[in-house]
Amino acid sequence: MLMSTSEDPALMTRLKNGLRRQIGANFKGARIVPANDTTNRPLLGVIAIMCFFAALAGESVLMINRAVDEWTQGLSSALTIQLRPVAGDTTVSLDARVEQILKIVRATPGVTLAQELSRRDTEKLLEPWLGAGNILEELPIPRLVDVQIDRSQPPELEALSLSLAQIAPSAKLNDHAQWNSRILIFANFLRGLALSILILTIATTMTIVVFATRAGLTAKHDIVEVLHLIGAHDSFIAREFEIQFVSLGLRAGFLAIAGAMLTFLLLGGLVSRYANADVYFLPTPDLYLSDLLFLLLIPLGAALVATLTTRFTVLRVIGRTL
Amino acid sequence: MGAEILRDVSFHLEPGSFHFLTGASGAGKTSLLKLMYMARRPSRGWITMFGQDLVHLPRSSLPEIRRRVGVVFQDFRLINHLSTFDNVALPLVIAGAHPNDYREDVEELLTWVGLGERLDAKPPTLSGGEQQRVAIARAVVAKPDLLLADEPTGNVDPKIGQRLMRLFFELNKLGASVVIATHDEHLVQKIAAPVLSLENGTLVKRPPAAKGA
Repeated sequence: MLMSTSEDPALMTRLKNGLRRQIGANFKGARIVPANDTTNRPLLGVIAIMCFFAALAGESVLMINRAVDEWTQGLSSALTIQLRPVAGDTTVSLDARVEQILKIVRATPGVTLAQELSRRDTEKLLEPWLGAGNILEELPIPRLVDVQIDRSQPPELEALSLSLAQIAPSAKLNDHAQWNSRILIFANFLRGLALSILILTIATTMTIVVFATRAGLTAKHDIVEVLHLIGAHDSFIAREFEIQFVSLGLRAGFLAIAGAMLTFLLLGGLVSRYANADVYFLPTPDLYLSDLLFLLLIPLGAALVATLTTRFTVLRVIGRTL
Repeated sequence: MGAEILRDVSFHLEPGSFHFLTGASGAGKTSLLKLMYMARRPSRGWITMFGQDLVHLPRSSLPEIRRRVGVVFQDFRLINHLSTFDNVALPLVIAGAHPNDYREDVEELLTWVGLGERLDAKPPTLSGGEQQRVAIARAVVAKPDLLLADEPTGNVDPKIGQRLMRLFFELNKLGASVVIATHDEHLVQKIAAPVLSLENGTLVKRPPAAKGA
């Protein structure tokens, strides 16, 4: 028959001691400076919100970068030749001039594709301004030639322009450089804005952590003083506070990741549901590997910011004491 | 600058000495102890301890000296959310000791002060006398070179008080200097030890009282 351990106090003590040795820690594993649940819970919420803003701002930068890459890559590998009808020019028909242009362009090294846009496609481009069905047959619409080039070996644009000018003085070669530069200015502004928001959220988080740490130091003044007087180094005391904020930062960061991913999934769903030709240029909020890696940095960053801020604050405050 | 609490205070404690610090309430006993356990620096004057000039020592060097000084605070200053065991082990934890290395010592010490059954108890659940014993155990656990005790037997019954005094003597025998601030003239009379007496902020040294007087 098995003997109940409660009948043997010595065995119980041995077991208890053995267990303590195995745990290798204090009985209760209690932190010397305990977390303050009443202030830490709202603090978790506030830091999580800050992390969420940081995630949105950082993700926006990534999205803008991707969109700008797509836009500029598409545009910089494309040229457009515009041939305007000139009133009174009847020497050569426009169709013949377009044929000549296509011939020259296709023979130019670095050009991978050259094709004329159909009248219907050209009319579509005008519809946002003139309205569908309002374009009269007689309206002299410029003829457009879409040219795709090899970006690794681009054609000599100046030479091409000169050749075009010889056969059709009204032909205009557009390499979209102006459009590209405007996009870049706008994109850089948006990037700057998102980065400013990111920096502001980090600064706000640091300020919140400074106030929370100071409040913690005031609330735990007795403990800090005892530790100090029995020989604890400032760094030991700081570490006791840091541990709380590492955990707080990590938890807040992971909450923010969940919130940010949910937001992007909802946004992605909305865009794919309502996307049409009018908003085709909007960046798609899909989550790529780089986004996930960035999001994973949020809790780590939050923990790091909170820890360093706490350490700095504790060392500064107790550094003023003897 | 506030009122001058201590003046013309000059004394030297030999290693391994045992002194009482006496004086009426407000005479400056606690202030003198605070200077000795480095909670305050003197507005003027000079204090050396273990060969170090405490007045001019940078604060970053103070923790190492504080670790050589065990203090029994008048108000105990126990950490309420930690167990009795953890409170006593605190100086060792701060010094970086591993729990396996100090567990038996702490348990033995707590048993010695009569709290062997209350290792897991939190200070708020202990009586005043028990808290005082925890405070004493914490002060002596790291075997300090100097023990400063502010009214260490004020809240305990005479029997426990004697036991605690034996603890101080044991520590003293191991080479620690001991200074016990007390009101208890009976204790001072009973134990033949030199007395540092504070009277109106000045220090008067008295030879050991005749034993049993």
